[in-house]
Amino acid sequence: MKPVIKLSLALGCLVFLALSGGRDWLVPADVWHGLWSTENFVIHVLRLPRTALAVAAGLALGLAGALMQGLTRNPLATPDVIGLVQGASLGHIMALGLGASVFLGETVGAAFALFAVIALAREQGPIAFVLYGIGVGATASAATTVILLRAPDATITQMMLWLSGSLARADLATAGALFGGVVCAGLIVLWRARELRTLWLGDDVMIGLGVHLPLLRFTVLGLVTLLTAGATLAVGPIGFLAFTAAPLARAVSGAEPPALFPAALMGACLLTAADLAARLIAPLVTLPTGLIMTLIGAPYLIFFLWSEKRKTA
Amino acid sequence: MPAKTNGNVMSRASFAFNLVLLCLGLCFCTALSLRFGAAPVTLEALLNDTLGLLESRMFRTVCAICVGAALAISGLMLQALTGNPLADPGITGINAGAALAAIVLAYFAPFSSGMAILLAASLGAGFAGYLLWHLAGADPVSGAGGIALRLPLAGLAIETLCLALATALILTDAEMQARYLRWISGAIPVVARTEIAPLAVISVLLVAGYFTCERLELLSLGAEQSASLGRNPNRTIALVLACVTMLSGASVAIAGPLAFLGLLVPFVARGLAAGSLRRAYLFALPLGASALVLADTIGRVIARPGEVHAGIIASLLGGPALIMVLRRVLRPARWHAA
Amino acid sequence: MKQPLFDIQDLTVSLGAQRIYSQFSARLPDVGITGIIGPNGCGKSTLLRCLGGLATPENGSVRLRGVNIGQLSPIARARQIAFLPQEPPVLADMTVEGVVAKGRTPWRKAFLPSSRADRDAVNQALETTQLIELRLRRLTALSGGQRQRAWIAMALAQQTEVILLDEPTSYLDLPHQIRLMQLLRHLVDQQGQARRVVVVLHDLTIAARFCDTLVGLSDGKLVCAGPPSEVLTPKTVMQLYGLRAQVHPDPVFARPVVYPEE
Repeated sequence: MKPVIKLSLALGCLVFLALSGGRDWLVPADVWHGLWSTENFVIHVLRLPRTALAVAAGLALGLAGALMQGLTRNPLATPDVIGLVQGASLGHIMALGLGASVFLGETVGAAFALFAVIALAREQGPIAFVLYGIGVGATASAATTVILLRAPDATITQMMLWLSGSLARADLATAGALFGGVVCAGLIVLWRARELRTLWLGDDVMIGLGVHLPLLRFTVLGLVTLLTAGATLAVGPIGFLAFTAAPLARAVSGAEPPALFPAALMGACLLTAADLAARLIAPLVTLPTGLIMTLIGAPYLIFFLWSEKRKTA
Repeated sequence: MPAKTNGNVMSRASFAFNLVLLCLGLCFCTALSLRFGAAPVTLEALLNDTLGLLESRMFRTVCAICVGAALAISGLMLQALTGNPLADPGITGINAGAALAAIVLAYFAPFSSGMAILLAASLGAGFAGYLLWHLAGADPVSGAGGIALRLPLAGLAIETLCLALATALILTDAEMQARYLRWISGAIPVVARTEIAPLAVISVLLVAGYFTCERLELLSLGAEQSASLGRNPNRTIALVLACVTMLSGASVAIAGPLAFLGLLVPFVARGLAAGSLRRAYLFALPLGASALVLADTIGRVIARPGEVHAGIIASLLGGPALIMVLRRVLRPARWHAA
Repeated sequence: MKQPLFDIQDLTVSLGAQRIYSQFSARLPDVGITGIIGPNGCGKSTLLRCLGGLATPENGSVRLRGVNIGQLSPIARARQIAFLPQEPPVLADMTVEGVVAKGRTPWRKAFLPSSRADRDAVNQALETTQLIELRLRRLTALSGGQRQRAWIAMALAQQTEVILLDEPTSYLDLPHQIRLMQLLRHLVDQQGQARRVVVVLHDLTIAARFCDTLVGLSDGKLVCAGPPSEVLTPKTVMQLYGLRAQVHPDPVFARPVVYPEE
């Protein structure tokens, strides 16, 4: 339980920082009072929704990443790298066009991308899996662009902001809904914790330990799809968060794989920090949070490849 | 393509026929690009050129031809050098490195000359290539069937990082946004600003590059083989890398970081050329040029009165192209494993 | 004859397009260590996977003391049979204790933290495998022999009657091979526990020295089964490996040793 407590404390501190930081810094007392008086504009309208959404989406993506990495035993196979996020975006745009439920569209899109990658990359090794995923993701985002081109101008402006992964339009209702979803996912994880703890051990060992593998796969992939869809719906396609959260959580807190809850907490920490950074670096222009996340995540991917190479050398 | 089915080297006649066909295709695409644009104009008005439209379209088309050919050739040379059909200046992050360097230069020295931008971009391309080599180079075992799959993966990491940094730099400054937001998504320029020098450099390099083909073909037999046949392999690598970085730098200086064109065009060109690198080179020139001219024209037409950047149109093909090349590359490996 | 440990009847198994077993029947006697021997590709691992319920046979049944394994739920099966593959994955960041604790999976309850019984089982497994001092070490920091012991400790923590091991000695040097086999012997001979080990082995000398029963397989067929001194003969070696050999008891333990003549 220790890593979870450590990371929860870190998240608490970051949330507090995120509430007090911005164009104008607030002293802790002001933050505290602002939280309890709904009239406080800076806290209640500007910062609280953003921060709450960052925490909820970070939890969802961190958990989804850790689940996916554990199931595939591939540190690179996370929803953002293998095209699930892009698939969800495509589903989002299509659902908007068809007038269907956006969440349904996102779920279908993410599931479709997932199955496409699995079908394409059968038994061709972990890196091929990821490259196919990247191809599927690129295809999905290109298709998103095409559909977007035909949309009315107002939609385009709105969607471009969303597609860059921005928290600027956050509202408490979305954050609350996403939070509810994350809590449900957390309960499912606790319920199946027995089996989920054996992720990363490989099919043979898992079956030997009495895990019903098809059921577990279905559970994990379902959870990943829904969590990715929910998070993407709320904050747009944010890359590299799911990818970095789990390994970073393990490195920082010393948790053992699969480290599902630490990864979720680390995801929330990362997204909150990235959002705060986006607000601090450029207070006047809206620097998308997704961009900051890429600036954190892409160097980590480079570092990961570098250390992998050193290991094999 | 009878040359492919019976496995023989293509005859001289059918090679010439194919080349002429591709050149005719390029002429057709050029004509399309001159005729159609974001503004629907009658042919008569266009020829009288009261609006100055024809001139701007001509400049634009020339840019697209040069950049398209440059991207195709740098992709082809990279692939021949690394023996990896997945190497493309976009996917490997070389173009993105060039773009980042160009943006950094523009940030600190806003009105640099075309040559300065080109040199900075080439430097950035070289640096990205160096980083890539350290991340994925000399690693023949990890991929299936001798193809190092790490290369595109490491390249994508570099590409994402460089583009994110460049975008962040652009977004933090209002003037930079006005000047470069269009450029970073891969757009062919409309009016000449600083593009003349890079265009000249591309033309020279495209001709010069042809003469490295023989060296590259020798190198593909192995470094020792190449040395024993009288060609210093290190010099070949240096020449080709210089060529690739300069081409990439020049094309980025003109039209921003375009991805995937250098993956798809060489793939098709090598398929047509059936084994000969020099023929693939000659095929890739008109193919790359036509592809980008066509992408640019389509981008101007489909969202009238607005305009979709050629880079976005090109990347529409990117994802499917990556999947297709991967399938091609990995399929024989699967047979070997079974 | 006593009831056999495993009773295999009319087993038909394919891997991909390749048929490994066709109408295979065998009985593994209820003794301490059963060794499965045979040339490469003869289906040793596949048989072990069928015994552990990892491979689903197209036809036929595998019974553990009369209970059809195929009809058990995964958890019920995992409470009776532990299985270790030939090369369990090496995981970064995982400690010895963490790995061993995973062995409690079939006994854990949803929503509840690990129970007293879980912790006791883990401690006991660590003690038996002499890993107590290394319990907080990372798996990647262990030697090959220690790592193999950690995996065996995981199987022990599973508290099953039967443990199936697929070539546990293949990446170990001679002293570690001997220690590992002694550990298995110790597990089987421990007082008050009717534990059974079925192990796939390559090395005939080691198999003959430590196993109570040897089962010889060749090309999906049962060649021989019985105590090592009865089973290892020039004739069976010829049948198994196509190798002319003499078999003599060794002077120290009087166990049969194969001396190839070719």
